Amino acid sequence: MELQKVYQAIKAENAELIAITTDEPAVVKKTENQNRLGFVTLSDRNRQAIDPYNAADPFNPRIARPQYYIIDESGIIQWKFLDERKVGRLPAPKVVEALKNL
Amino acid sequence: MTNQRIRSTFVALLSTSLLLVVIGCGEEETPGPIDPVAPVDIVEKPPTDSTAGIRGLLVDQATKQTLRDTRVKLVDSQGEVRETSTTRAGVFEFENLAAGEKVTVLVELDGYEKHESVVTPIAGEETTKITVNLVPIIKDDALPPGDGLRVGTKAPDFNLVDGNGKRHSLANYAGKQRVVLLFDRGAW
Repeated sequence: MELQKVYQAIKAENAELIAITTDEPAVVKKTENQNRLGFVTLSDRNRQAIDPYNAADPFNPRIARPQYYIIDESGIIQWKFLDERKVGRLPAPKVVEALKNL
Repeated sequence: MTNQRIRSTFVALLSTSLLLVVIGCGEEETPGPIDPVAPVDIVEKPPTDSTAGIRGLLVDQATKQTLRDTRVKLVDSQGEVRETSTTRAGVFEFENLAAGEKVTVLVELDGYEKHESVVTPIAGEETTKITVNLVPIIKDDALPPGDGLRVGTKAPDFNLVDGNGKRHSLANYAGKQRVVLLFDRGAW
C-alpha cells in the first residue's frame, strides 16, 4: 500500500501521520492489522474532528471527503491537499514533497 | 410607725416600680432584633430527595476551550425561566430543580449555533453533570461543505480513539512535531 511506504518518508521529515475515518474502532483495528499500517488511525464515529475540519463528504456526510493537512508545531495549517475529483485515494508522495518544501 | 419608716417604704416601692419600668422598656426594645431571626429557623428546608441540581461546562466544540461569562438559560417543566452566567472556568449551575423533571438548557452566543438540550436532573444525586458543546458557525469566508479548512487557520484540536481504544489528541503531537493529518473514507 502506497501510504505505508510514504509513512516512512513522513517520519524521516520528523512528522507524524494521523489518519481519521468514520470507521468503528474495531474496523480501524482490523484495517491496521491487515495492512500493517504502522501509523495512528483514529475512529471518528460522531465526526468530532471531521465536522470542525469541514471535511464531511457533502454527498455522504457519514464519511469524510479525503484530504490532507500539514499542521506545524504551533498548530497552524501550513499545507493542504484536496482531491478535486472527490473520489479515490490521495497521491501520498505529494505530502512528502510538501514536508520537504515547507 | 414613724414618718421616717413610711418614707423609706415609699422610696422602696418607688424604686421597685422604676426598676419595673426600666425592665418594661427593655422588653419593648429587644423584640426588634430578635423577631426577624426567629422565622428563619421556622422556615422548612426543602426535602433533599426531591430536589436536584445541574452543573454544566460550556465548551467550544471545535477548539474544546471553555466559554466564560456566557448567559445560560434554563426552562423548567412549568415553563419558568432561570438565567445564570458561566464562571471564568466556563461552569454554570442551577440548583433546587425538581428531580426527574425535564428541563431545557438554552445558550445563545454570537458566532455559535443556538444550543438547546433537554436534561433530566437525577434524584438523590447531588448535581447532574453535563457538558454543553457550542458549535461554531462557519464564517462567510468559509469554504464550501467538504472542502476543508484554509491554509493559515488554526487546526481544531480533537480527542479520538484508535483501534485499541487509546485516546489521541492533536495537542499531544502538535507542539512537538509537525502532523500530517489525513481524512479518509475508511476501511482501506
